[in-house]
Amino acid sequence: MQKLRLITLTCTMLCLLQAQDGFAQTQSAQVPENAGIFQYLLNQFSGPENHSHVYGVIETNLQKSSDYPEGINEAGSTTYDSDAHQYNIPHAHLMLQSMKGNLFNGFLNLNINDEDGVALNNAWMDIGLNGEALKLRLGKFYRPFGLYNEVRDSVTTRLSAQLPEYLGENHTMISPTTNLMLHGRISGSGHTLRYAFTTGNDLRAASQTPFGTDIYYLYNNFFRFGASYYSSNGNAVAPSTEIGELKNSPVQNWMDKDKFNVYGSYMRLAHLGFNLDLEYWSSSHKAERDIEQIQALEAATYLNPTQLQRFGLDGITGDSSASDSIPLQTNYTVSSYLMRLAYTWETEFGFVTPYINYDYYKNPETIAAKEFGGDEKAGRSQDGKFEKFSFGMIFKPIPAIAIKAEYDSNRVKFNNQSVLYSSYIMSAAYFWELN
Amino acid sequence: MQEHTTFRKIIFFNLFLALPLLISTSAKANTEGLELIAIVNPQVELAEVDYQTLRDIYTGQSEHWPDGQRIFPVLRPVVKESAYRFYRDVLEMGPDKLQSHWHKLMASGERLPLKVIHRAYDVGSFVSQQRGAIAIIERRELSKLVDIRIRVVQILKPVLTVLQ
Repeated sequence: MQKLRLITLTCTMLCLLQAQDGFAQTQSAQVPENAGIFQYLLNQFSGPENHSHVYGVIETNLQKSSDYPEGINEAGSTTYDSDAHQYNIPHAHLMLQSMKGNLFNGFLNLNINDEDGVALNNAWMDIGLNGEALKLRLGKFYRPFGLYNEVRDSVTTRLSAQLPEYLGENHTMISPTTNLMLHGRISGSGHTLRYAFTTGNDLRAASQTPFGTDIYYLYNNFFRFGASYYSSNGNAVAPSTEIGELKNSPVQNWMDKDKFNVYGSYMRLAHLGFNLDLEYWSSSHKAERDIEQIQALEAATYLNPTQLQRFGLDGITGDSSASDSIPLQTNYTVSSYLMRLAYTWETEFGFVTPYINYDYYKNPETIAAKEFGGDEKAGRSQDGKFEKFSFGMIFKPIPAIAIKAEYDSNRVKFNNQSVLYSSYIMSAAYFWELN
Repeated sequence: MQEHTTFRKIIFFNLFLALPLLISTSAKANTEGLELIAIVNPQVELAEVDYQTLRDIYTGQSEHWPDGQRIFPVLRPVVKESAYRFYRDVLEMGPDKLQSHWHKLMASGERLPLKVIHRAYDVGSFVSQQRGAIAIIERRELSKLVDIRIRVVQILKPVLTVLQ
């Protein structure tokens, strides 16, 4: 009888202890309602959940341009040239993403290549200020601008082999990255309104505050319509004052200063396997050229008659022009539009997506020589106008792999004639993940 | 003898009439078992969820529950009829297309990958432990999760409206 009492007592004590332990755990997980903002933030950011993932994208391609107009011979006829085919690795990314608590995200995106070594494409942290409605992003990130800028490294899902011309590396209409963003979204019943306001160092000349905004409406990933605006809000300068290849800068490197605004709108319609993209962009520049840089250009590279006239160098013989003949102040407009139609169907081997593309880009200020800040496309054209008609095919045997082939027919005006030349690009991309 | 034959005919006729009813009842029982339900972490205050909300969650359009908790959606591989029906009826896209969509979100740093778990018990365990988690299972699989603390959420099917 005594043994039975002892056993009953022991069991009761053990049960009580276990219950008390469970109660304690529940209490510790809860934050008192009157704990204050610091306790609240501590709970949001330093919770036990820390989710992270390591992944990336690799893309390798082969491209070649043939029979493009290169110069004018003594007889006044156009001469043509072709490039050797080139193998490139434009994307070799290492991406790390982490989420902590309910409000904190961090993202690191490195691109490793032979030219730059390790390039820091993105390094940002996102802090929720009011759920999804308002967040603050700090660091270096791709600005929301059109359909493609934010997803420029998503090469396995992009329905084309190349970025649109308005984001082209040597003649971009906007600097791809910025440093500070207030953004958010309001969603409900398939409708989403996303807004973003950005500022950063960008290409400002001194203490200006550049300003950018992007707003779009999305319905169920079926229809998207948006608009973007950017103002340098004062003078901007090229990343380098040395005459050399110009990368990701809307300001030409022979400009002393440049004040510019970019605006445009975009639309995407995706239904029944069809995907239609439409974009229009315009950028107005008020710039001042640097005399020495223009004289250096004249001496170093071929400028077509329109460019010579534009830079006040026409009719000049000898190595360099007189300084007073060069018009320093210049106002010009860069414009671009894109139309892309793709259709995806599922086969037993994977997804097949043929697409057609029309890309128009006009920049009267650029020149042909890429190594001196030109772009080899609009810069080759007498009127700065470049058109590209493309037909391509994408094959995705699995979602992580994309094999693309694209043929482009490019049109420029050269030697007072409309000249067509061709180029092709073939690429293979792989989205890799570490478990 | 004639009476007996007539009686047999009546029985066969009735059985013939009853057959579709029997089949439909059996199919209904089968469908009830395959009925999709959502399970969420007990801290998520949710009683029912509609197709559109699920679509927003699984396509990354919604990132937080109304109370601010981050949403952790869990997927099942398409080896089960229910998973297939979830892709077809709710998400209206196949698994490959959904994966491509998430690759795009991941490459811009917007989302971590979707968690994919095969066994119902493992799904339940994950959902019970992960704050903000949600998963879709078959109603009949609930019997395997009796010892796991989860919240069962009814999925509201879209109401079809007939235009007059």
